[in-house]
Amino acid sequence: MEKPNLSEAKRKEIFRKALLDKTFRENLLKDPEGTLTTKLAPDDIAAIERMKAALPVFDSAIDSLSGTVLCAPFGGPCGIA
Amino acid sequence: MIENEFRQNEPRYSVARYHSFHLGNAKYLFAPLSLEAVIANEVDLRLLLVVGHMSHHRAILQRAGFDDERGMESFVRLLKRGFIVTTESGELRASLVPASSDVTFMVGVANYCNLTCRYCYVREGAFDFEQPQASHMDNTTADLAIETTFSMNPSFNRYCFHFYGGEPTLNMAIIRRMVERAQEKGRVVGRPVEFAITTNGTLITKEIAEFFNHYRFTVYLSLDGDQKRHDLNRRFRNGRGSFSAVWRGFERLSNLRGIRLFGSAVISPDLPLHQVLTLFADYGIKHAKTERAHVFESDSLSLRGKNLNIYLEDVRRLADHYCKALAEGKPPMDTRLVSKILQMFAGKARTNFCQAGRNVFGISVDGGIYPCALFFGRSDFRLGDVLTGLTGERLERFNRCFGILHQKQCADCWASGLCGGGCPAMVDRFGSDNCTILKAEAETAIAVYARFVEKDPMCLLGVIAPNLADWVSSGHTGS
Repeated sequence: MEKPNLSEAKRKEIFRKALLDKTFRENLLKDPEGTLTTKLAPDDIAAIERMKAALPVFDSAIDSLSGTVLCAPFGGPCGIA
Repeated sequence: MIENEFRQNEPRYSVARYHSFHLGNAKYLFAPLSLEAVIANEVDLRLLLVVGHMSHHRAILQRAGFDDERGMESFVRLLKRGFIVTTESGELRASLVPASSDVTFMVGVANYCNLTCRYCYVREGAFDFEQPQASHMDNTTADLAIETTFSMNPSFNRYCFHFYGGEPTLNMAIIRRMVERAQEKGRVVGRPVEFAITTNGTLITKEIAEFFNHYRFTVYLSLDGDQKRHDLNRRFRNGRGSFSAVWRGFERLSNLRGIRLFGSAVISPDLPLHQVLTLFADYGIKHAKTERAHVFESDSLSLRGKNLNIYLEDVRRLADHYCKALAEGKPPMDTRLVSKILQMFAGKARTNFCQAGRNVFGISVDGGIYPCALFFGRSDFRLGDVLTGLTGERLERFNRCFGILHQKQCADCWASGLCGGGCPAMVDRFGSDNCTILKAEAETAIAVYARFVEKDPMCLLGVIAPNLADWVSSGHTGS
């Protein structure tokens, strides 16, 4: 099996950048090798596919931050029990 | 290599406004504009003292006495995180949290309650209404509420109906009716619909539990710790304690996989936060919502003096609670710091504590629409009703009253981008939210963020989805 070119730490770094930088994300998903300027092994490509699947989970949490009640996240009420 | 990041003609450097504090053995720095934080070391502190408008980083490092790799690393870190700024770039500023398309309706289906809890703001169904109200929401009001909520704003996407009381399970017929209609309406208009309930848990039958399970409810179950303390505050109308009845309800709910169950406790001098979390862990509760009793300072249930200090210390201890859970790849049981941690991770400041009056509304038993359930009966903030919809003028007035742009005490506060000015209902009722407590919560969230941001920032995402970052990078979970 071809050895991955991206370490786990590097993948996490890429994931973080993709989460916070929408232009980088667009480029990464369109042209991973061009964006990362490196040859990617099948395992690396699979990691980028997993990123693609996971990004909406975090997008949704960040996009709904303003609607999140601070003392009780996940749609809960504030104030007194 | 770091040296190459600097150009020949460097701009002048200065220090951004920052807040410093100790938590445990560490000193933390927080930049309110960039929402960035670091655990400060002696080099950081020295650099921040000497930066003052010098134009070359080498001169700054020399004056600080750290003209070496350590000094350079610290300088770059402070620059990247917005503590040191240049005359060219100005101060780094976090952007604002994006407008949310999620909406929550807190629906008061029953004013009546079978308990008489000492701290309850519902005041046995009176709330702040000037006239006595019906005890239960009727079919017509419920149906109109569903119609109105779905036509209120076309940009609303995900709907949450959170049933409230009094004790909402006293009106299960209306809850069932609204859930079925909202589900159907959501299906027709292509919007996801979620449900939640805050209940005292005394009336949870097997059938009710199954209903919540079927519709995947988030259930906030009020449970004030152990039997002795619970029964002190939460009694039936005949004076009998309610713990045994709640426990039966808890057992019926806790094993159903479709239910997201929160233990909900009111912190008071008799029931400190750390003891609630320990007890909840013993009970096998995974999520906790614990709020202090919101009462006037003269009330025996208010946290003041020694009890306030115990509470503040408990809040600070949550830093270890969160860090331990995140390091173990588990969601923290406490949830009060989740939004603040995510805000810092994403660099998003808030101007309001919550979206009451924008993406959160309360619907009272009589069909009145309020900014949230805590405003029920406050005539100034009745924003409309389910028959006629919202009144724009009232809504504008409400939005002009609260949030950091409208509250004097928030103008120069370092915590405002994280706290949003405190709960509007508390500001309205007590003049301000408790800034001492809000600041302690902000500092604790900052400490959690700072402990992870440099060594493993993705770990912070564990507050919403533990292990997901590990799965992305390695294909398996199990750190």
